Amino acid sequence: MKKVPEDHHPLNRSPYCGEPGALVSYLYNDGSSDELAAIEAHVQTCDACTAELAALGDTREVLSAWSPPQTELGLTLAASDALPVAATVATMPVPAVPAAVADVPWWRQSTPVWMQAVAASMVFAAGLAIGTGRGGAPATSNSVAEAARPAPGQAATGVKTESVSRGELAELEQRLRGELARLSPASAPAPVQTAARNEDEALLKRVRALLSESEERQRSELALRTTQVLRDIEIQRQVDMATVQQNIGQIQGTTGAELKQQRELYNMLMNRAGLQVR
Amino acid sequence: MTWTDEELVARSRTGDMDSFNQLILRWERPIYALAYRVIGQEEDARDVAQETFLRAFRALPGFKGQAKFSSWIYRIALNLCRDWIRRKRRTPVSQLPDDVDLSELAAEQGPSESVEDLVARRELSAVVEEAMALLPEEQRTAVILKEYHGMTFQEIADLQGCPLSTVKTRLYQGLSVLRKHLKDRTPSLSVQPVRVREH
Repeated sequence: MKKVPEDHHPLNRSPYCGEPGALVSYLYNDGSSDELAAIEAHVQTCDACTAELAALGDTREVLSAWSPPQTELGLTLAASDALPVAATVATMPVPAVPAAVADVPWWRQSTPVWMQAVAASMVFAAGLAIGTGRGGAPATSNSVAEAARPAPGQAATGVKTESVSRGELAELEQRLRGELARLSPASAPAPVQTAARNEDEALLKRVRALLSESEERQRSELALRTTQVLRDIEIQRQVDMATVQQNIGQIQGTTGAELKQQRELYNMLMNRAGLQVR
Repeated sequence: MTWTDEELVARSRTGDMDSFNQLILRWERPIYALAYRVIGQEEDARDVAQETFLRAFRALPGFKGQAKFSSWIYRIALNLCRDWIRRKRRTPVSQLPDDVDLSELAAEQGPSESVEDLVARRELSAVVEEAMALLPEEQRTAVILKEYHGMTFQEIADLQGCPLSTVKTRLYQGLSVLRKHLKDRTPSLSVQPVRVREH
């Protein structure tokens, strides 16, 4: 059931009057402009809501006095604080790709030198093949225009393929293979591959070093703990031995005293018995 | 150059700890203040703040930027505070110690503030803290987020997982309880509450 402020005139009734949501919206100025304007229009004509808002405003003013202690926080996280996966990501060395290269799409990145060399040799070999096919002789230093001109006796529409024998093609293939074989060893150790291999080797070395270091540490810790355990056992053994010896000594002392007492008693009895016989 | 939260988050996701530590530097104070006001223990609030950032860092791969970083981290902190309260099963907001260390007071003293003003401020702060301890957790959290962190009703509703109208009601009820408690303790609050509609 809703309660209306006691001093509120019925004619002044508004959907916002005494409504907590409306009062809080107006108090914090958090709401749509239309809603806030409507609430304000009501508040200006309603003493009860005005008083309520003033009281809430005073409360807010007092609340502002509460502040947390000004302690020095200095919170930071280290890579080791994260989960193993995240830590690996955080500590793994970033691949040595320059930032400028990393941002360029693959089709705009520069081609490796060895690939350029292979492509050049292929083009060169193709040129050789064309020259051989057209004139029977390799197109060496002749101009491109000359190479493109139809050979005498050939139709302008095309090249007579019959002029190239199988032997010539085989020879060309062999020559191309030879060229490629000659270029491949030179182009293989290109700087990028070498650098990548060096990085991999360095990384492997580092991982191996870390592993061996960790194993060494674990071995030494194990040895240390074993020594500690052995020492504790030895101390405990000595304590136990001392206790046992002490107990035996006490027992022996007690037994000796009792024996002596019994012997004295026996002597006394014997003496008395001898006296009575006499 | 100042990076935005989103930029720092993106860099942190690639494992850049420096970027994440910049985020911590930016948000440690508000998160600590929130934790302190909700649970009321200085040391525990610090632990909660530390744990908040640790969990945030670990959860970064799953954070797709669907919410603001600040909202996300506030949510983590509030969940941790809630866990802390459940674990302790006691009134979360603590009382300030009776004996006041004057050297600590002197360290807190502002340049234009007298020792008397400082003591009065500390006393008032203690009174507010005591009054806040009376509120149920949901009301207290709503008041704290609105009053000290300037969040909108909608942001609080998202964080608390409740309708907007519920947030307003919690705020109003919380403020009303605080007003009743503070009225007797502080002379400035002399206005009597009026009877309002109840929902």
